[in-house]
Order: sequence, then C-alpha cells, then structure tokens
Amino acid sequence: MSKYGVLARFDSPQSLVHAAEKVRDEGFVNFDCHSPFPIHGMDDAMGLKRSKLGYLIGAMGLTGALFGFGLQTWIHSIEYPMNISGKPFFAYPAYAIITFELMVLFSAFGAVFGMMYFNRIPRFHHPVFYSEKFSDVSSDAFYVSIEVDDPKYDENEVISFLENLGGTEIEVLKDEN
Amino acid sequence: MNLDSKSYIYSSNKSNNLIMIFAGFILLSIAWFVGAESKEFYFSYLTSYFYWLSILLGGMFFTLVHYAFSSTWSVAIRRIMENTIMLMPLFTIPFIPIIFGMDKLFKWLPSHSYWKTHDFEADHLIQHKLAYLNEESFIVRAIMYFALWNIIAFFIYYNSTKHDKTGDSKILENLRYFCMSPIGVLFFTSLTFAGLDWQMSLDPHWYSTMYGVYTFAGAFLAFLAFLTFTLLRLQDQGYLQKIVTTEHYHDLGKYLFAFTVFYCYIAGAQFYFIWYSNIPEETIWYLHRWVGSWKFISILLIVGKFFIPFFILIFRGSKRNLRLLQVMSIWILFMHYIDINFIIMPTVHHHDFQFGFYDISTMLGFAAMFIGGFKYITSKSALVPLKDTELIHSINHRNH
Repeated sequence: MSKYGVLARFDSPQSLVHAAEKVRDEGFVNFDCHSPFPIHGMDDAMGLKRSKLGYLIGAMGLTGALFGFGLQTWIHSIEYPMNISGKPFFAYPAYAIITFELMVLFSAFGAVFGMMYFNRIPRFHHPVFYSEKFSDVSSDAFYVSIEVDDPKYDENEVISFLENLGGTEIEVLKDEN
Repeated sequence: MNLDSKSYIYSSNKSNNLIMIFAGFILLSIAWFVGAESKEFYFSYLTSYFYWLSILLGGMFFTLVHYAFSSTWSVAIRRIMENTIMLMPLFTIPFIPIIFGMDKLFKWLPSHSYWKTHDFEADHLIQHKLAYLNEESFIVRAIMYFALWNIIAFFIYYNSTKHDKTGDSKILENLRYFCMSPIGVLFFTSLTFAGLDWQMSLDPHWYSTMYGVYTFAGAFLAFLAFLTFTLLRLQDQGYLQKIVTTEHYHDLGKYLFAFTVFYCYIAGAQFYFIWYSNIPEETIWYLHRWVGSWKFISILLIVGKFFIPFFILIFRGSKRNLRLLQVMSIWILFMHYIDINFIIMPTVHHHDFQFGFYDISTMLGFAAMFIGGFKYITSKSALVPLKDTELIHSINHRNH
C-alpha cells in the first residue's frame, strides 16, 4: 500500500492559519489545508504564489481579439466583400463588437479551462476521502495534510511535528492505488 | 491604535492659499476683460471651467456612493473627497461669464452671430428644440444644478466635520440616508442635463443619447486620477503616513483601470451608433473632429485615453507601483483636458487644434483657484475622519 500523506485535525480557523504558517516556515511545499469556508490570509499563511491564471486569460483574450478582427477582415474585405449601406469593405469600426465578444469568449474559455487545469479537475476521488472523519470538514473541522511527495517528508517527524502544533486525530492516509 | 497627529493635521499658510484663490480670480478677470468681445475667449473659458468642474462633480459622485454603501475601505480617504466637493461654492461664481457669453457660445440663441446672415426661422431642427434650448430655461436650469450641488456639498461636508467633533453615529446614519435618498438620482440627472446644456448644445443640430453618461465617465475618471495624485502628493509631504497604504492605491488603480474601460465603452458606443446610422446632422459632429489637426487629437484620445492606460494599468504590479500610478494619474488628467477640448473647441476652431493665450490664462486661473481652495479647505479639518469607527478597518484594509 502506497501512502498519500499525514492528516491532522485542528479546531478553529485561527489554529489552522497558525498551523499553516508553521508548516510553511518548516519548509514543507506539498501540503494543503482544508476548511469548510474560505479563510482570509490563508494564501499568505500557506506561502502560495499568485495564480498564473491571469496571464493565461490575458493571452487568450488577445488571441480572441486578433482572431475576431482577422476573421471579419478576411470575410468582409477578402473572401466575400459586400456593400453594406455604402460603408467601405474594410469597415474596421464595425468589427469592434465581434472583436470584443470573441475576446470575452476566449478569455472565458481560458479562465474556465485554465482554472480546471491548474486545479487538476475534474477529479472524482482524492486520497483524503479515505479518512472517515474527514467528512467533518464540510461542517466544523479544519485539516492540514502533508503529502509524501514533499522532499522534507519523514513520517515520524511529521506526525510529532503536527502533534506539537496542536493537531489531533492524526492519521496516515493510503493512496488510491 | 494611536495616530501621530502630524500625519493627519494639514498645515498650510492660510493667507498664501487665499492669495492663490484671489490670483486665480484676477487672472480670470483679466482674461475676461481682454476677451469679453471675442468668441474664442468664451470657448476657452468654458473648456477650462468644465475641466475643473468635472473633477469636482466626479468627486461628488464618489462621495455619494461612499456614504450610500457605507463603504469601509475608502473611509481613510473620505475627507479628501469631501474637501474636493466643498470647492463647489467657489466654482459657482465663475459660471457668470458663461451666462454673459451665451450669445457667442450657443448657436441656438437667435442673437448668435450666425443668424445675422442665415434665417433662424428656417432652421427646422432648432425651432423644434427651442422649448428646451432657450435663454430663460437655460439659466433656470443652471441655477437648479448649482443649488443642488451646493446643497449636497454643504450637507456632506458640514455633517462629516461635525462628526469629527461629536462622534455621534447618528450623523453618519443621516449622511447615509441623505446619499441613498433621491438626491443621488437627482445628482445624476443634473450631471446629465448639465452635460447636455453646456457641451452638447454647442452644436444644436447634433444629439447623442449617450452624452450624459459620457460626461459622467469623463468626470469620474478625472476625479479618480486627481484623488490618486493628491494622496500621493500628501504622502510625499509627510501626511497620511501609515494611514493610506498600497492597498488603497491598489483599489484606486483598479478604479482607474475600470473607468478607463468604461469611458472607452461609452465613447465607443456613442461613436458606433452615429457611424452605423450615418445621419448627416449626427455624423457632422465627428466630421468636424476628423479634419486638420483635430484628426490627430481624435487618434490621440483613442490611443492615449484608452490603449496606453489600459495596457499599463491591467497589471497588478503597476497598480501597486506608486510612482507609476502617479505618472498615470497625471497622464489621465492631461488626457481629460484633451477630451474636454476635443468636445468643445472644434465648434469655434473649425480646422485646427489651437492652444492660445485664453486657454493658458483660464486654465491657470482655474488651477490656482482649485488648488488654493483645496489647500484652504484641507487645512480646515483633519485629513481623516478621526471619530469614525470604521477608520481602523479602512487603515487595515487589504486586497485578497
């Protein structure tokens, strides 16, 4: 049985943030915090970097805008030129709306699928669900999980470290395989 | 938490400020005296006047919104907004020359020089608009706008400074009710009609249903730039240290970015409707702005008022880089002048963009009045609302 990591329970958002800070300061990288609701300041406490999603959306938006403008230029002034109310074939002011809409569409695709890619979803199961008590996380429990993949991972040390932080009900999780 | 009183008490030489206001008045009077008979003077005067007035009106909008939504993050910068709108009484008086110059500014008046050689009665379109565009109703409406704006300015400023002394939470509640009341709607209506009266009616054949929003978009954007610049300037002089933080500038940067896009959206929408339908009395407005050096100004507006701020302010890093933000706010204020000039001046300078004695003197005159008045009002009260219980939350405000 391969292992996924160690799970420890905390009782309040404050203690979870505190624990996250300590875990971060200890040098762990592959760890996660689980809580019933978003906690302000959690990103800093976990030492998470800013999401790269914005740049992806920006790039997709620019692509969409160029695509929209190019598409209309090609259709209206090259492939099928038509005289519409006496306007020139290359009537670029009229292209702005479709250009804008395609920019929004591409950005939205970039945002949704990029978010799914960075969050690694859809994913139908996760090893933390092997813990039976973990379902409390949807009501009143706060968990920290430290993964085996972490370069600093040493099972006994991690367990005693989490105990010192005030974690309870510490358990070692198996992996899905 | 204890704030150092040096950081929120603005000290400035009272007589210098009064001299500055007075100098502004003198400069404007001289310009008026010199140019009383010239058409160009009144147009330059209207441009400069509306430029500074729109900053003030944008501030009025922001203050109304701040109170109506009991917003927290802007409590620390609230007093700067209130000081700006308190310039309203000072800016009511300089409207008088515009009334004197009406027959030179507005073509819809039968006494306008254009009708000496043309038949006023034969202009069907203007004849139909005379019910709205006539001298009496124009003056009555102007009086109503200024009455409303002065009421808003005095009510907010008086109550807010009273709250500094008493700390009575009832006052803030009253302010909230005041700003949520139909006053807010009336303010928007007045801003729309002021834009129609003072700018759109310069070319009485032309009309745009987008114009009121256009006025608002420009005014609010200019005020945001003014606010950002003022806060940074005050901090450079050692005020508001540890009160206004990068987080506030970040939010102001977001506002600047959002309203740059909003301005472009409104200006674009106005253009598209006119461009598509291609009706002569509408397109003529854009045609006047697409000849000679006005063409350059039109392109400068598209590039300078939208593309440059858009691609700079879109990044989080540039919203948190205070020097860059300061440069951007100056740039936006400059572009706002170009925008107002682009709206008003082609009516008189048909072929080329011009910047002459009248433009410089009126701009400097109003600038002296505005800055002197702002400093004078700012030194009257603390720079932050000290007794507001939300102040601490505003200071600790963070973006997530």
